[in-house]
Amino acid sequence: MNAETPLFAEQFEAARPALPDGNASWRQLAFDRFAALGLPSQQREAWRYTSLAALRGELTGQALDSAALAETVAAQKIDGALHLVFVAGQFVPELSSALEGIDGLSIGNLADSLDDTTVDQIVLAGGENPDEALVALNGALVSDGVVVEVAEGASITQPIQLIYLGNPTGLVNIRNIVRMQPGSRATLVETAQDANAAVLNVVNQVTVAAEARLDHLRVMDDGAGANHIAQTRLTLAEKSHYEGFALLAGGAIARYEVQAVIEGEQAHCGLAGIGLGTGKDVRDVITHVDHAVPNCTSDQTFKNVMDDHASSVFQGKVTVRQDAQHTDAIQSNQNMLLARTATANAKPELVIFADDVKCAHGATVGELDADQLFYLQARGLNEQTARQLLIEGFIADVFEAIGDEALRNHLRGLASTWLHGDGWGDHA
Amino acid sequence: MLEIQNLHATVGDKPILKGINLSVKGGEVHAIMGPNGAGKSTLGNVLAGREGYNVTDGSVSYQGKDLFELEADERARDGLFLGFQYPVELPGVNGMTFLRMANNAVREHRGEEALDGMDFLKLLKGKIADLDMDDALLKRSVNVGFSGGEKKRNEIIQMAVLDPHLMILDETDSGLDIDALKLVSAGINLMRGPEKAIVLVTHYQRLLDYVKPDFVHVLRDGQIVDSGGPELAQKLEKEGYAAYGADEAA
Repeated sequence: MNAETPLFAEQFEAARPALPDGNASWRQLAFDRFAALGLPSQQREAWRYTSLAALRGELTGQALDSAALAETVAAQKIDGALHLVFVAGQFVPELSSALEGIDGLSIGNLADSLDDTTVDQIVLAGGENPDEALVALNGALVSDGVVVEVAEGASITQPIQLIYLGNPTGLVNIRNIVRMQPGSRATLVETAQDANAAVLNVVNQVTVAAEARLDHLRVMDDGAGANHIAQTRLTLAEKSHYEGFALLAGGAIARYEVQAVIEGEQAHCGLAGIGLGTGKDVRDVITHVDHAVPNCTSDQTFKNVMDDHASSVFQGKVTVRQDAQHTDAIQSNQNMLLARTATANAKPELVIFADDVKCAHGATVGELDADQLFYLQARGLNEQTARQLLIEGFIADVFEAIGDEALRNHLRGLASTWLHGDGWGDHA
Repeated sequence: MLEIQNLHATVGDKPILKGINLSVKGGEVHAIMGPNGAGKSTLGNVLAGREGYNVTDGSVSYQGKDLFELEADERARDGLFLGFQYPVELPGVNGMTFLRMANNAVREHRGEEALDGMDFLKLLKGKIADLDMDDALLKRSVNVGFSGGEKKRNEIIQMAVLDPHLMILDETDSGLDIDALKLVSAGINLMRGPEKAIVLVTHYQRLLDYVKPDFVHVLRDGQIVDSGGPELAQKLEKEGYAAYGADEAA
């Protein structure tokens, strides 16, 4: 039991009637676990840099007028994608694509897909680890999300885009369950561009079966003052491939955690991300890639650019279990600080029990290079343009992790727009 | 075009330039030669406006304006081009994008319209053909992984596209094999014209076999200690800088 639990218990009870399956015992189960674990304090290493103070306020959100948001939503839609729009945690079919009729794709919103398998998956996620308290809280309060299953051998060419719009006063809990059957392929994009939730708490549970591949992009470009906390829990089977990319650019706190377990041989797990921050922004990335079996590869590339009083965090862990011989794991975290008051926290960690493996990790912290700046200025570019060009150059290679060219350009465009915003990069 | 009077400059606390006087008019090519440490590169950097180079005395007027009133990027847009001895690598910055942005910055300053991607490509193709080079270098990140010769060729392409009035070329011949030297020299010669001035800063005479200077100056310990015609370069090639009190022969 935890000092904050009564506050949450009250909110939990108040929220239940409006939630799908609201009075079900599984929600109580999840809540009890959360109550036992309590909110993780900043004394815990994994939560050292992310304050959950926003969760301690009043979290009952007001309903939003979906129709009024149509324009905002339209601006975020990626051409050619299958769109699923969630407003204040509720699926809005009127703003979304028709979900039927795509061969090999079974997709529906979670609130309408709560069968026993899905419920079990929700409740069991996270276990008894105190660092996973928000996963338990998500389980207790989840309002919606998506359940996706891509059939064996099916290749879904249309990206599946989830668009989140938040509620300025609310805690929004989204749970997505993605099941990639053997040999299937799909691309999932999560977009939170104006998700102004006090706290948006997203949990993704992804299973990639043998020889399947999932490309997974996250846009965390929430509005000012918003907090976006997300976790992807991932298991990879034999010869499967997961390629993840996250852009952490908006909101006061953007925190993304990936827990990946490689369970089948010759699988690959790629994780890439870019953090951009100014003001007092926090960009917090936590990864754990667990190599449980031999002959697998993983690749992590994260870059951050922090200005003003912003801080970035990269706590990246690779575990190579005793049986996981011939693992090839690379991890890299590079940081550029544009102001003396900005901070980068890099904590790469390798835990290796096997003896025949190739593991490399590196972390760097630097600033804009004066020689490079002068070179650009000596060709006529003003200082601000020169700085922007160098910053874009610094992060450019991370986008290569995105295989699809249109999506890569889309993400590049979002980062570029952010970098060209007012007040950015002026804190030399 | 360029009037340098009694120019003194320091790098850190160390005086490097100790009273330079030089007058460069449109249509002229000047060569500034000298041993290592004479202040050749400092002169280029001071004129281009690099930070860390402090002017302590003297004046420089460029096209009738006080050069030191202008920031480095303003000088560049005003047509002053510094060819770098060591062109800087810019990881992730695409060569084509960079050059188009630089060209548009110059064009807008001249009151011309900015070029879109297609029009710029057209302009670029023309320049590259004149130079007898290809645009492969521009498809990569600027100077990243380039050989010494490729970096210098890239400088020449940039110069041709930006079409500056005053070109200060710092050791542009260093690190070039004979074929590259010919190519680069031809590129420099293309830039000659009645409204253009070129200052070649070089340690060796060999560039001057291909780009014939109108004037040659000897820089020694921060001052111009001798000036003459092309024959002065030949003399230096034979006799070295010993006559000017330098320890090191060219």
